Amino acid sequence: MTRLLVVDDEPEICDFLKSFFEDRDFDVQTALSGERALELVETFKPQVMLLDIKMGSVDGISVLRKVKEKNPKTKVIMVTALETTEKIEEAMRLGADNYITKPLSLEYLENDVREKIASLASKA
Amino acid sequence: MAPFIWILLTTAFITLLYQPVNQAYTWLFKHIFFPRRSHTLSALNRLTQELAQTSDLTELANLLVNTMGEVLRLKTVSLLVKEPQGEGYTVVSAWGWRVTDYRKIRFLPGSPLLELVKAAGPQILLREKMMKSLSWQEANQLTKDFDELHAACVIPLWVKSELVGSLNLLPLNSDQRLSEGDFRFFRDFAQTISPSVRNVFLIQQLKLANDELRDMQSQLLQSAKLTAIEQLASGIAHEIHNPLTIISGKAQVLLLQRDRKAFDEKVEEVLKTIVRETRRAADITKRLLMFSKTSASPHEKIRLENILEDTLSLIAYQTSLEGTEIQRLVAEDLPDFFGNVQELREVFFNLILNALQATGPGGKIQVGISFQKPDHVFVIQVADNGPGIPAENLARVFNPFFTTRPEGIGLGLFVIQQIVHRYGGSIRVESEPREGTLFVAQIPLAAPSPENASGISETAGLSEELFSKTKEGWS
Repeated sequence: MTRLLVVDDEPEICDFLKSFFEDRDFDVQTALSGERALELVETFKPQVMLLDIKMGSVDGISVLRKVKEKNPKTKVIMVTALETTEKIEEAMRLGADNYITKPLSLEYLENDVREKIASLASKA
Repeated sequence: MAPFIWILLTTAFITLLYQPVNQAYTWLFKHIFFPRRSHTLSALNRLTQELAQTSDLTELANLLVNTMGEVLRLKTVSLLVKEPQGEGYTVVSAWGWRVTDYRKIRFLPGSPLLELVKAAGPQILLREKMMKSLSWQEANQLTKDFDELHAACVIPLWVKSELVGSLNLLPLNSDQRLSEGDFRFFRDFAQTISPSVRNVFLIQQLKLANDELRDMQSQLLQSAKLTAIEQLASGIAHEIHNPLTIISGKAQVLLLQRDRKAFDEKVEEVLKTIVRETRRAADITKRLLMFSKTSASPHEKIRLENILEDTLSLIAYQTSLEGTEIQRLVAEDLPDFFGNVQELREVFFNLILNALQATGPGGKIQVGISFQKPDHVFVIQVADNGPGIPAENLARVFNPFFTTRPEGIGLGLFVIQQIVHRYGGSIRVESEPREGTLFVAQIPLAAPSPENASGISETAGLSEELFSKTKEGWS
């Protein structure tokens, strides 16, 4: 099973993403904060991460930076609401693998996640 | 005894009669022997008092030249005054020559007359005298200056070391010579009135500075108002975006559930509507944010004609509903434009929407894109055959929050202007009542800057998808 970590400070968003991907046989964990996300990166070792750019104390960009430092193999898809293109560019420079804008198209997101997994498998 | 009494009586007689006799003598002197001189002096005295109480430059100048002209029986008098901004001097008022002429008379530093006046200090300059001491060329130039002022005599007005202006006059008879007494009189007179002229000049300068400050203040207020709107828009957009994501996400979870037997067709239709409508709402919040966005966005190579087509298909539904005729006039050899897609879309969209709203059902709109090769400028024109913009509103159409539509927020044209200015271009409006309105935006072809050239385009995610979806839905 593919391990997927959903990071968003909005519990309802984590909730529907979890049920959507669990319905598709993913192993899903959620984190409501950047701190919790970094803990889970250590313990849960996700293969793919859905990471909200804008969060409270530790924002998506700094989580991304740490994840890519520690485990560059983890695929990170940034989730953005209305962030400026500069923010998105910064995330892409820091090694984000893609970004998707809210409101989410779950079909598009699923395809993208599967694509990332496929690229992981082909490299392995 | 007798002589003593006589002396006493005489002294008393003289003492008693001195005052009335003196008065009578003065009266006779004033009114019979030198009536003009006395009248002149009292009139000029009154004039200096009145000048000191005047705060308006034109009023002061008119009063001064008219009184002088009349009282001193001159052929011409004019008042040259330092301009409140800059180093030049302008004729503010004149007596004896046509009113329309003097408004244009200006002397800039370096003009022969002005330099001579400055060099001469408080001395009065006489045309005839000056000419004798100059070379033929210099005299020629100076003649022009004197001719412009219609004057033969220039009386400088100094306050300490500052030349505030000059009185320029021509006596009634050209051969009338000014006596030494006249010179003394004019020098004194100039000294008396110079402070009044300078005060009025300073007041004018203050007025201008005040106007400038007031303009600046209103600009600041407007930008503060705009910042508030921007913050509000961005806040609303963010706040609404998350709930929309949740509503749409949960509906999609149900809709895309693998075990689909759980609900019937009707539920599926409802869920699809929820997803579609939340996307529409999200699109509105994005648009709201776009209106408020002022930060620089990535630039890329774009084709303006494609942007025009995108925009037209976006409003195709509305135009077909209203039977609007849209004519495209796109030049064939347009070069690539380097800019931000969203911003250019905004320009076209707002201009065309504006025209659509102006014409109403059955209107005609022309949209033109051309390129001026010599200046490397793109020209975007949008014309409509609507009712036109009233002259009193024409200057305000680009002001933020100016709108004549009750449901409008008055940001459309303002945003366009901001965008066009950001590209170093300009936008103007021409309108004839009952004829229609024409907007002309001119945007220079800019060279791609290296930091922008590598900007990623927003093709992933939902934004592009949304745009095309809306397109499909409307066309």
